[in-house]
Amino acid sequence: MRSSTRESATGKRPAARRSAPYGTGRRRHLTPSARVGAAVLIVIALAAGAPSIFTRASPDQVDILTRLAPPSHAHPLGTDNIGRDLLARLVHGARISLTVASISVGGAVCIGVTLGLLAGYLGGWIESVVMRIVDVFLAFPAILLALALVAVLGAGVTSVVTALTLVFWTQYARVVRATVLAEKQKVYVEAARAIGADNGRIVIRHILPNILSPVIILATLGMGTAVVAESTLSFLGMGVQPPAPSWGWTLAFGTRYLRDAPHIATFSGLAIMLTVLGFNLLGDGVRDMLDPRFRPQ
Amino acid sequence: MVRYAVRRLLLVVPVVLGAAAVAFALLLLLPGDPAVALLGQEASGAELARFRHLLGLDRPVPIQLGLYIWRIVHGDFGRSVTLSAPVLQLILSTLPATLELAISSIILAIAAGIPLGLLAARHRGTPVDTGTMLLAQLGVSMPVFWLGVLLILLFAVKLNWLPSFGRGAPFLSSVIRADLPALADSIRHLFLPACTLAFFNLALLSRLTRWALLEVLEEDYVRTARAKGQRERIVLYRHALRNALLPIVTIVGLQFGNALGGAVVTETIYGWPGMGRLVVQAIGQRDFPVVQGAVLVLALIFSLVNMVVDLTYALIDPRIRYG
Repeated sequence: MRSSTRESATGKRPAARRSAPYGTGRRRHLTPSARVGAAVLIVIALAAGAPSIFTRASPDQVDILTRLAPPSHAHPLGTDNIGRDLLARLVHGARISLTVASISVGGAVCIGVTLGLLAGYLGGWIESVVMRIVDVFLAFPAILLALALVAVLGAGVTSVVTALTLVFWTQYARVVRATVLAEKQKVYVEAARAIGADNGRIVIRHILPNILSPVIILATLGMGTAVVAESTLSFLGMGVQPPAPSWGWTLAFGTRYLRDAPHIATFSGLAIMLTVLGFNLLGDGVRDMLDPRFRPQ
Repeated sequence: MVRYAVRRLLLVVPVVLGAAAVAFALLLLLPGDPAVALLGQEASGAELARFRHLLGLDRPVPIQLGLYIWRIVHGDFGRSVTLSAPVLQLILSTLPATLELAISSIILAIAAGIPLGLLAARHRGTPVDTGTMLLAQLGVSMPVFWLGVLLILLFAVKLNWLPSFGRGAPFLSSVIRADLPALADSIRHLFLPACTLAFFNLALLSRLTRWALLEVLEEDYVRTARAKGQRERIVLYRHALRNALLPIVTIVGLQFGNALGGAVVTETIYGWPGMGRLVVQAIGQRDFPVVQGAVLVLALIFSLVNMVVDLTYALIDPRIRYG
């Protein structure tokens, strides 16, 4: 039995203990590739949190005399079309990418997990309505729906976050509902019900901890997807607007100078790819750690 | 099988109606008066009033939605504000280019992704496996637009081997007419965009093929086949790959949706005259009837492809249609 919550004969509750999480006897350590991913992400998070560690240059400092300069000692990654230091723009751009990705994935997790829990646990018409809405959202290619939403909401950080949240919540709802359907049949839920726990307590104290593993895996991988989606929207001119140093916008601008200054597009793309690679490697590692099916034999 | 197909087809109807409702809701989300957004700031008060009445914008929202769906069912997607042409006509004129690009990219992804996955699974734990999966990891992490830029930089700017912009002669009509120069031109234009769009799907497919094969290779019937002394090639292709096909087919269907979404970006980078570029241009010009129509048509295509995938799934695995 997974549940460990019991009511004592005296009516006193023992210290609340949560049901054992999914995948008992799990591997304790991340795989080497996941550690590489985590290391990459730590560097990028440092860039986002404390950009002065990496560069003293301002991302908005214009120096027209050094425009489109290739990498040099003064400008390690070169400069853009109006002489702004590319390293400074990419380092400061990390904050935008990570902030947008974190808020949109966080929002999607909140909506998806709540609706998935309700649909899976309560069933009936609530489940039908939620899952039909999920089906409808999944009928749209994700980036296209995000683009259409940003088009009507107007370009900018808030619109991008709203659009990505509305696009990403469906995958969490689907996975959570499927996991809840399996979990609610288990003995620990029956035991909790037998000792008089109400639906809210069963869902929050018992089922929720047991469905978190797939959510954590999806959210880690989803962060990479969100970084790409934000960059894609910015690349298409619909995301975070200049002069904010968004990676996607910097790359889009770099494509205009492919012949004279290929370093702009190359380094900004590399920043996006490394971040996504970091999340993917970490996500795969977390999956290996939490999901017994993916553990190496 | 026919009953299953009919049941699956009926399931598409509510999804398509829901997609139409989402496309309709895009108009409601527009800040300000939708009539102004659709006709532009220059429209006079009388024109706006006539337009509102024509589209039913002066009626309650549920009736507006009903009217919108009614018009869509009758093939009336409205008129483009900037191009002064029926939206359906614009969609139909750009759809073939998008399908050409999406289908070629899927074929490329299948042709390279499945053999790469097979190769990795056959050589599990060796440098071949590690190298292939590293390439696949890079593939799924690389943004489509960056890959496009890098390919243009290498093949169009540095080497000057391939064009970086536009579409040549339509591929299918060049094949039908057996017009070799036109076909060569078509392939030269198609190659870079198709490779760009295929790379993510190729990487994903190779990872999935490896994973599915390794799962199947643990099964008892594979052990039995090996115990009977069958050659490894036969075990791999006849026994394992056939059973590993189920998740692969599903993912190929989903990838078609990825390809349609990715086409928006790829078409913009390469100036490919498809629906993706039409959508991006329409968004730039705030031409919302085109955005609504294109989004809805792409959702419809995606739903139909998913239905075909489900039917294929049922053909491959009888347990699904009788389950």
